[in-house]
Order: sequence, then C-alpha cells, then structure tokens
Amino acid sequence: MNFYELLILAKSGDNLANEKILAMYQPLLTKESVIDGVWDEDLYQELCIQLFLCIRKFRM
Amino acid sequence: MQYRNDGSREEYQIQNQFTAYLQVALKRRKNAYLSQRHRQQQHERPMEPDRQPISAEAWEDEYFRRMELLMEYRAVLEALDQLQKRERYILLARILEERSFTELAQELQIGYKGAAAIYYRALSCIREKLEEET
Repeated sequence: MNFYELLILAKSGDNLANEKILAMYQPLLTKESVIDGVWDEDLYQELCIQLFLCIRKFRM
Repeated sequence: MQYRNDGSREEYQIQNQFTAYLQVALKRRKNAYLSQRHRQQQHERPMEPDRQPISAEAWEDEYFRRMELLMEYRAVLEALDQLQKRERYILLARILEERSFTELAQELQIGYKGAAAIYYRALSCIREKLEEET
C-alpha cells in the first residue's frame, strides 16, 4: 500500500491507517513538541490532534 | 514502510505535499500553544510577591521600630514576672483566653469582685512598672 492509498483510507476514517500515518510522522511530532530542550507532553498531544485534523482537511 | 521518497512518482509528490502541509500546520499550532501558555503565565501570581527594594534609611527606621517594640515587650515580660502567681494567672487567662470573671472566680473560689479587683490591680501594677522604666 502506498502513501496515497493510506491517506485516502485514513481520510475515510480507518483507524489503522490513521495509526500508521501517526507512526510515520512520530519523529516530526516529537521534534516539534520540544520547548527549550524539554519535551512537553501537552504540546505533543495538541500536535497529534493537529495531525488528525490535517489528514481530514488535506485536499488531494 | 521504508522507502526512499525522491518525488519522482505521483504518490511521492502527494506525500511531500502532505508533509509540507503538516509541517506548517504543526508550526502554527505550536505557536498558538506557546502564546496561550505565555498568556496564562502572565495571569498567574508569582509564588512570592515581589518586594519593593527599600532604601537604607527606610530599612534603618524599620529596624529601630522593631527594636522598640521588642524592648517594650521585654519590659512587659519583666513586669509580669514581678507579679504574684495568682495575679499573673488571672491577667493572662482574662487577656489571652478571654475568660470571664465569673468563670475565674469560680475556679479560684473567690468572689466575682475579688477576681475583678485582682485583675485591675495587676494591670495598674504593670502600667506603673512600665512608666518607671521609661
């Protein structure tokens, strides 16, 4: 399965596909949720929510 | 899902577009989160209220004021020490524990007037001694 199909599946609400994309972007999310060298869990959660919003909003 | 994305195929291009889209969205979200946290911190009270830096003269005044209070306190203690045991007991019970003369009189098996008299005598005694000192 390529990314395109995965994204379409995730957009349609498939939990497994969403999880896969979350796993793919885990490093980016972790990197962005560091503030002044300290990992902020609240921010990490916010960013995860943002990822799911992005999946839904992204136009192909 | 390990593969190299060189943007050569359409699905790769879509992934790149999605990643770029996501990166911008995450940046914005992070900025929003940070500014919200900053706003919240501004509304919070610091643990210790900031003390105004005081000048040396003001500090000296405060020092002497406290010293005087302490000296007066010491004088009162000395005066109390010179009272009789029963006088001291009634005085302290009346002032500190706010007990009535009736109660004290019953406890010490004296009359109401007796307890009041002891109390006022002790008070005047202390006043005299404080006046002597100053």
